[in-house]
Amino acid sequence: MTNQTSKYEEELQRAEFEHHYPTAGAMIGHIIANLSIHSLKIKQARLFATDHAQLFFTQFAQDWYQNEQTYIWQLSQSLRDEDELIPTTQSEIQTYTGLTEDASLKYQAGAEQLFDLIKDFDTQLLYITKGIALAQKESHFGEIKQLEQLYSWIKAQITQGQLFLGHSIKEGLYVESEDDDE
Amino acid sequence: MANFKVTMQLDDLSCPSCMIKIQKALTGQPGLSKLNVLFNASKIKLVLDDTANNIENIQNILNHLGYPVQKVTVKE
Repeated sequence: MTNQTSKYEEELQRAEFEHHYPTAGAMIGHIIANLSIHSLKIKQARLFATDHAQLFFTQFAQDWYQNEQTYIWQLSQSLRDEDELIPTTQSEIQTYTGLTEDASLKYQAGAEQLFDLIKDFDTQLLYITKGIALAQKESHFGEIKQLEQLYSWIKAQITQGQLFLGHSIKEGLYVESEDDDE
Repeated sequence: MANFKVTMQLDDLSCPSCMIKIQKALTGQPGLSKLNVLFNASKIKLVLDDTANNIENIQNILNHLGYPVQKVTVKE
């Protein structure tokens, strides 16, 4: 086995372990994968959405895209600083993302495309919240700071998008309620 | 037809991807409605039409995915 191959085998074993007993690094790997897929979906919506949502995308999509790309870089560098694994290939991005892509989505109404992106932002928050908790446990202070900033930025974009669509802030998003438990 | 509210307690869900995998596996299963996977509580809530599906089948799907059910609560 070559040095290159054996190192990658070791990496795969480490990734398997760290995703089974999640570390901050593993969770940030998911977050980077989510940002990568989401930024592609933003580009798709910006290019194809029709109706009034196109006005929204014309104003905000490029900013969303660029911010997500910046967070991908920053978080990747933080992972490297903590000597953690960093997803960098298409295959890794597809394996670790919790978001779903579909090329046919571009033919949906613009408002539906915008709402889909907002729901994806909301899904990203689940990973970010877990990532912050794990980074705190591991005292990875740089990661905590970046994830908290990303959390705040995403929250603001959700609000902006929901208000544009005439929704209440949490409408159609994930809410964990145990009201009728047991 | 009888509809039951079912709550399944799982081991701790360590990652949102677990929640998404469970949602995908159970979505579209016959006889299930109002499916809700709770990440922080590590629970699944759903309404089951027992003429179209049963709890054992759902547990088998979850076992196969690697999420054994620790406790099941059924309410009419």
